[in-house]
Amino acid sequence: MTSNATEENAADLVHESPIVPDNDIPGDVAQKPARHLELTEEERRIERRVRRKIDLRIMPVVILVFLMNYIDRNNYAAARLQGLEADLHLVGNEYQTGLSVLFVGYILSQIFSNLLLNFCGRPSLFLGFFTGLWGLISALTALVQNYQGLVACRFFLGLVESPFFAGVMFYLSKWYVSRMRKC
Amino acid sequence: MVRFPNAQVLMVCRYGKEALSFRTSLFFSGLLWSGAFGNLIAAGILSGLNGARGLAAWRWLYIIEGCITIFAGFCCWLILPDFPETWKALSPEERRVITKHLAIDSATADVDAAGFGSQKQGFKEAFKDSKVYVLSGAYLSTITASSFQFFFPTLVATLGYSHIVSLLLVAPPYIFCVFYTWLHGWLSDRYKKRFWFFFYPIPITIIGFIIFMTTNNFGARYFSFFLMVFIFAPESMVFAWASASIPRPPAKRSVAMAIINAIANCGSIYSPYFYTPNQSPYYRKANGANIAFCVAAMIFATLHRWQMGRENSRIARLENEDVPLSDKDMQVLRKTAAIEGTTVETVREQQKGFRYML
Repeated sequence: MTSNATEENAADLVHESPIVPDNDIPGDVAQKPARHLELTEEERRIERRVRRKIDLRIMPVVILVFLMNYIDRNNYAAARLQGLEADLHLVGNEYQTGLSVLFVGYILSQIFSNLLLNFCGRPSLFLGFFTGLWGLISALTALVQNYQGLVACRFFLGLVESPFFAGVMFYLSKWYVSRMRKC
Repeated sequence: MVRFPNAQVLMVCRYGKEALSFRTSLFFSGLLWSGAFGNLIAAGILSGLNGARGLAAWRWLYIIEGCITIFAGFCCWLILPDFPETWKALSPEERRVITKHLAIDSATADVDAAGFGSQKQGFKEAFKDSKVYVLSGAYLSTITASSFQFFFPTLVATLGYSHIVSLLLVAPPYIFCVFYTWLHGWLSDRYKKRFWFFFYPIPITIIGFIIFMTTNNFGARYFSFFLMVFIFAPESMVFAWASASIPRPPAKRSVAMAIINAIANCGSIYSPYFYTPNQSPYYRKANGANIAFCVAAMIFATLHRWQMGRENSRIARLENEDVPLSDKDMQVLRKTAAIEGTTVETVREQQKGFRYML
């Protein structure tokens, strides 16, 4: 199927069946069969200007947050070379368990985090809360004194990262339209 | 490193399938940049803050990274706008334009109409499709084989240098990897091929593992790291391939992506245990296991290629109007028509000229 066929197919489907209202888009705009709507020249100019404003606010913050998340992921490997195992008296496979349990928490909370999005009233608050939360848990890893504490800490870290990612993706989907991202 | 289901799902929904591989590699390379810089920061902290105020360097590492993240959380709360309608910085005119644009896009984009119970159906369809499981197997195998990334500093430390120098030495292979995955994704889009671009980096990775397991020479072992990071190239494009193989309906596609991601991330649960400490410096058991999973990835990829080749030849066969359709073909057409909510003739017409990207 070419993309044109897909779009026409989708547009026809939308026309023939009730449009599912999207709660963030004002009622009168969402209910119209919008495939006949086009932006006027004037509107296109306004839209480009606003788009730049949006990009300047959203992208730096989102990039910063993602970068910190990935760096945090690498910390555990680097920490091993900085004396983590000796300080926490880890023996045998305990370091590996600390690594593995993060993913257990992450996978377990994936379903829950997608459900949690239904309660995402203000995305900025939702994102800010979960980012701050996993930053806090990550910083508190510095207080861990033994293996048990490490496992608990890593598990909860995985647990809060999932809502964070779900939130970021949901948020980006509300601000960036497909045509914008195709270029 | 964890793969992010929703990011990949969204990019699949937002980009055309041809251009997807380059963009997912751009996204994926963020992970790799942080691999480089995270370790450089760690090296700096180790050399400067070790023992400061009675805290070990790794505690400082977590404190610093955690605090920057909490700051980023505040930035999210203060800077990010909520929705176009509620953003006070926009004039009413601008607000109207943006919401109109979003509404137009959501009406003409790849949507599921509400009337066909398509969400539930997409969910069921995704679980019943064998392609999903083959792709999960391929991705799971590559994730397991790339588990060395969690032990990268430890492996580099076997080269014999101090911990600070080892952390610094981790950065160049990651940086090389970033540029290589960009090139890889771009080439994959340009030549519109998925299978060979998934397949060819894996033997290179295997060679890297073998070199690390067998030689003692510093140059050869450090070079082997640059070969090992080739495994990130297929990882960066597996979702692009999956989205091309399971394009419609959108509900099925997003559920399929979630299933693939969930199954594949389980690879990170058992793979850390390959690297038991008594294997230093060659880590033969770990690398042997990694090689085994590389081979498994190649097998799954070949299997998937065979599945998609079969689909393409079925479509080619159906295109020929004069050929009488077998029962099985009619069954498949009827099922597709039921899912799409159209007739068999429409489905046949739409599928003309369409081929899955191999």
